Amino acid sequence: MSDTSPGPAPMPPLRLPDSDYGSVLADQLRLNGMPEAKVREVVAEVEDHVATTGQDPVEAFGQPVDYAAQWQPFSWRHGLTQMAVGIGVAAAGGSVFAAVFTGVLEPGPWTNPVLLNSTTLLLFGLLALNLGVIPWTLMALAVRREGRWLGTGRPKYDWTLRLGGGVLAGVGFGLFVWWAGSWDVGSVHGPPRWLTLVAGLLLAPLALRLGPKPGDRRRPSPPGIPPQPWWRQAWRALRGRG
Amino acid sequence: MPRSRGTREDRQSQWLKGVLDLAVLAALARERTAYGYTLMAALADRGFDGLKGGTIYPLLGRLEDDGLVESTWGDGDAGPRRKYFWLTDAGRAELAAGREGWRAFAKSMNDALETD
Repeated sequence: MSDTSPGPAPMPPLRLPDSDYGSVLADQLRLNGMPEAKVREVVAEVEDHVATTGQDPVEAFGQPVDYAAQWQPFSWRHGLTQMAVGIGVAAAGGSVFAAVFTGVLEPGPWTNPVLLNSTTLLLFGLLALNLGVIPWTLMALAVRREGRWLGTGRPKYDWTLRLGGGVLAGVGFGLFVWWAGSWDVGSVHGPPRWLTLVAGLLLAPLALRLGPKPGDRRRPSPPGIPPQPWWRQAWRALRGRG
Repeated sequence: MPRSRGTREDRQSQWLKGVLDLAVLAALARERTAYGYTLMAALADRGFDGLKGGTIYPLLGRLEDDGLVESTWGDGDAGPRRKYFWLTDAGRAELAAGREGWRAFAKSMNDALETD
């Protein structure tokens, strides 16, 4: 009886470490918006199957992009939400910087209002571009490419993408400077510095926890382990440990 | 014009898509409790060899979402953790209904294929 899975890969598959498949598959599932608990289960099933049968994971399950789509297809709604959360990370960083920077420009108590001017707007634009837009678009592209050609020997074009990302970020920032330079907003008084600082410090770990992380290469923990409380997840995210 | 071998295989693949869930439910009914690989072996014993993990595991996931099977994680044989599946009452009812439906369909199709 023939199988109903997609047809043969366009290039002969190479044997690869099973853990590579698990990591790349986990990336694809996260990119498609699958909750982490479910990602753990899907990857653990694959790894158990491969350990039991000794089969090549690409041969048994297909390319990670295709296998992930069978569980949860990619949705642009999820992608745009992730990008918005990435901009939230930028807002958090911008808030902390603005609270401190105002104190440097105009020394005074923490109850003084934050200054909002062209400089802080430029900073926010730069952070939003580099934390929200660039990671999601270019890193997601790299992750998708890797998950489509795993084990086929095709180059990943990582450096091409990184260089492209740098050029794109530079052009985008240049355009933003040009646009913001022609738009003099003057100086506006925002909320108190202490409130801006606290809001930024609270938002940062939350946004980092929820934000776009394509290509972070985290392998999921085994299933059956209860999830950590939110505050511990946020603390780990703040320390860059997912 | 004679049909190509590829077309015949496509047809078999289409048939399988329509009934594989029932075959999986039936295999689970026979095995009582099974994990992915034993289920595939049980299906291979009944002629469904060549099925791949990429087909079976998402199907089991859909059956679980529909409440037709349940599962739990247990320890594997000195390997990673393993997910064991079994039929629910709803799964047994679905299997019974599917079996009746298939028999009626197969009888109609057999009649339709007669040339005398």
